[in-house]
Amino acid sequence: MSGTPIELEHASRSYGSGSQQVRAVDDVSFTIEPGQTLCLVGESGCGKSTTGRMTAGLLEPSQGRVLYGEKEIDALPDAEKRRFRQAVQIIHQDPYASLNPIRNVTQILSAPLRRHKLTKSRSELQNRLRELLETVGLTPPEEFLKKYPHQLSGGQRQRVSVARALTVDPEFIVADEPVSMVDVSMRIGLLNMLLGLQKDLGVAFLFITHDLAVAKHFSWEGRIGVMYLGRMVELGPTQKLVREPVHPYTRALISALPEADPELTRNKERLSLRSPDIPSLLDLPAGCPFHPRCPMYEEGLCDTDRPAEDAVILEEHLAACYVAARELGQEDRIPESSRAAGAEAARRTA
Amino acid sequence: MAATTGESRYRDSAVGRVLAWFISTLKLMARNRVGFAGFLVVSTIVLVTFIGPVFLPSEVPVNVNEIYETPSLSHPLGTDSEGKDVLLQVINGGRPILTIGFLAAAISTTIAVTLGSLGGFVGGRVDTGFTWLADMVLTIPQLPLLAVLAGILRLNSKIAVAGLIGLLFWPTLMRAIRAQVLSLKERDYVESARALGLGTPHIVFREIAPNMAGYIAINFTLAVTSSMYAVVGLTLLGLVPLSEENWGVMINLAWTRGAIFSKDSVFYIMSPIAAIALFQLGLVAMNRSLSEIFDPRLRRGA
Amino acid sequence: MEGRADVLSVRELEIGYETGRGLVRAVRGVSFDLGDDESLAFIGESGSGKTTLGLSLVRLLPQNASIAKGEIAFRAASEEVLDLTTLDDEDLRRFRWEECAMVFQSALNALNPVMRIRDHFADTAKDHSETNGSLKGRALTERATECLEMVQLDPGRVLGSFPHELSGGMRQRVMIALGLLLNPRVLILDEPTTALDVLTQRAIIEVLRTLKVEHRFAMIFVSHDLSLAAELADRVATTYAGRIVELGEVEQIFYHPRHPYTVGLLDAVPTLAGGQQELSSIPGSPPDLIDLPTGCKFHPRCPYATDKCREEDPPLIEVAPAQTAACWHWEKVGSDWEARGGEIHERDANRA
Repeated sequence: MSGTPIELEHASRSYGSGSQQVRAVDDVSFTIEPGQTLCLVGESGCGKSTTGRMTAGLLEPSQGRVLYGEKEIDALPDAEKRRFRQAVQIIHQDPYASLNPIRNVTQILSAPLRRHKLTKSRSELQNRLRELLETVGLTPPEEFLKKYPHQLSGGQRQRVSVARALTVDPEFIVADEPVSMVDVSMRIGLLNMLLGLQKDLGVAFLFITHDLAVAKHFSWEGRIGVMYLGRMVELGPTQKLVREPVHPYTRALISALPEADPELTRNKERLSLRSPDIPSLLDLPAGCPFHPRCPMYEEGLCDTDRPAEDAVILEEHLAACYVAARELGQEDRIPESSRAAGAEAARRTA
Repeated sequence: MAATTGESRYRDSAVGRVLAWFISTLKLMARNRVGFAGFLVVSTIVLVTFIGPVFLPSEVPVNVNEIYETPSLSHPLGTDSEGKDVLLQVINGGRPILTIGFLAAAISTTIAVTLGSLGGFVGGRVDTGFTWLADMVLTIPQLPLLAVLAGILRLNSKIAVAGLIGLLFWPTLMRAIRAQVLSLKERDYVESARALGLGTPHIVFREIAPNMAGYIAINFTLAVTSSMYAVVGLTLLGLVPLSEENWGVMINLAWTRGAIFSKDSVFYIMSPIAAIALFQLGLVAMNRSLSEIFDPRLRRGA
Repeated sequence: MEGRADVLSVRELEIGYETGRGLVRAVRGVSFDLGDDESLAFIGESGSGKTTLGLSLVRLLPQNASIAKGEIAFRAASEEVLDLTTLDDEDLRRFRWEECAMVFQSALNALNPVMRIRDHFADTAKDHSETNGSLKGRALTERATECLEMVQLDPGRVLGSFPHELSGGMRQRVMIALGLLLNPRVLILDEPTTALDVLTQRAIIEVLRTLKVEHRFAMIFVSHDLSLAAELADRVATTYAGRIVELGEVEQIFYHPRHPYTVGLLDAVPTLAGGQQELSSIPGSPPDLIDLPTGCKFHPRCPYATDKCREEDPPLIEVAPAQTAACWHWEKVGSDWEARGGEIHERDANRA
């Protein structure tokens, strides 16, 4: 399946104005190739949803660009823009808000098919509806065609959302916490169904979640990006990032995550933070935004310059941390000012 | 198509579907007693005033021997200054008022929903333009303007009167609809519709507007109420030269012929007023049931 | 287990909600005991009746709910045994904070936004002044300070703050501290970590662990989150369609489950440690509590279901010392699980 890569290039998004201005997303870059998966992980307010909506072309970046096949989406000629609009779809978190309560499954699914003339006749439309429902595991389809959202469970509604996205044969799906509001016993089924779409239809995913364990399951062969206060602090192949995290924030997340295994979770090594409180986006600390909480904090080095997201480069694996850069022998990636401030602080304490 | 059982064939036929819809609507109405009572009052008045005149003489006979009679068996609501039966006049006089009321409400609601939905959803200059227009119309004192326009325009047909009222009464509802759309357009399903490229008309009229159906219906009945007041007011002032009998004309005549000063004519003057009040009361009560009719969650198995 | 005095004994509890659609059977024949320094976790999905059960233990059920049957016996600090199903309003009010405190899922919005945290403590103390007459002025501040320290908050900063000045995690801890004010013996926590971020969740879990280990509170957790039970529970009860379907020590439930629903839940939750796992969902969705299936309520979703399951609801029977399960096929479920043991041990080895 041929596809087009999607790229975020130094994208930022601000809300509010004046002294109340908040940078929900600050200078984030990544590329997703056709058929690939990138999971964005982070706590509430880290900017992962905003990043997802920018990637889907539903929100314009205040700075930076979103590229579809190396062209900026706003500058696309009309025909290509229409192609982009169909190629990129979004699945939302809340199964109770993502379907229009007054439209039944048939109406929900046939609107895009009719609008883009994707089916030629009534019988073709009926067949396509059945096929879509089967693809998302709502079988037998006859049972669901006439149902309204309130007659479906949370998991079933999410499946209808996925089927709706599939009506236009997308190349790329932004899935914003698609399982977090679904009952535990049904989550994995939904995730496995989405993984099946990737395998069978070659759909690429930007998968947004707060749960590292879900990210690991969904993106085993793909990549994970960890966001903190609007910035990408670590980005790398899932298996490496989970086993050998570089950024202290990622390490803190991994060590804090409770696991469904009593012995494992009770004996897990814990990384204690210097402060439990997350700083406000309105009043970000200087230098690395994680430094007031970071167990690896070093005066001068960490609170002078904001670490670039590729301060550490281990092949495909990037991290925004100067302490890690120094320990991994990549001191040349630390700017002179931070190095000097760090040395100065060390001299003072000595 | 799946095998058709007796039941599904019944449900697949258009008549069957309409019937099923009608029955379930009545059941939903009945969930709220006050609302259902209102519905009964409104439908009775509509039936009597629209169908009643078919069986009645179009001209109520004049009888100079029975001027200002108090209620009796032959004249349940008494008679007027020409000895005409008041009850017959009330029955005959409802249709024009109701027609104009519903027509004017339909016009103003349509304008309000269209402009409010489009303005709220599209935003930008379109929205600014519509809001400005609404504010303009709102700032003009409406009844005096109506009076002046009615005087200049020689309103001879019901449609013209309804159109004039409709064109002046939309701004309040338009602003309320706009506010609703502003909130509804942030819903996830609207974002999905945008991502699917379904287009503005589909999003506004298929995704957003139907979600306001209950709200719109309630406001429609309120618009009927205020439009009726406006027609009656205009007729009372003699600005709408409607020749046929109607509730407004009755009050006008009662007034101009000095009936309001006579103790004997209390039934004559109060009857059209009571008819109007009863109908309005019915509409307002019916509102309680309207939001339930438009909630698909309550329409089980639909 | 022996020698541990039970602070709470629930027997054959039945609770229903009257709704327009019919009777919702939220709790059906639930029995369990809680030791006086024990923590017990109720695990289940939405509609398993677990929240109703939690509310019934402090008699905070909504208007349309009623306890149809059963008893809830609470052994108070005075050794007096109270039957919670018949307690009058006055005794109930005293019971609620002094013997048993509940922290809700909605705790984030439960604090009055125009009152400082100090005043929240004062209010709670005042409500109970006839029995805790001494708790005001300096004594109150001292006790509030103590409680806030127990939940690892800085009393100097928090007492003078308004709720909106505190983060979600801090407010959740304030709610726990308020619960501790009158020194109850039992804490009931409804989804205490749901909707909180991972690092905040961790802080709450550590606070609860301290309360359990150092202060020896008895606790009941109600949650959909298996990992919370894995972290904190001594015993775990799996609930489904208003019933306990399996009850046992935490290791028994996580390592030797005997009910297919417990097995299904364990197979459905990914872990971060280890390699890629074979995970599967439980087919179907939780039942409608108004229109329950016949026989075993889990049979429509169960891979082991037979005709017997469709006809007869299995009783909770002992399947191992201290472990009970309600399944006709528990032996088969158990042997299948243990047969997969090799695979599971391999998974454990990966984690090491």
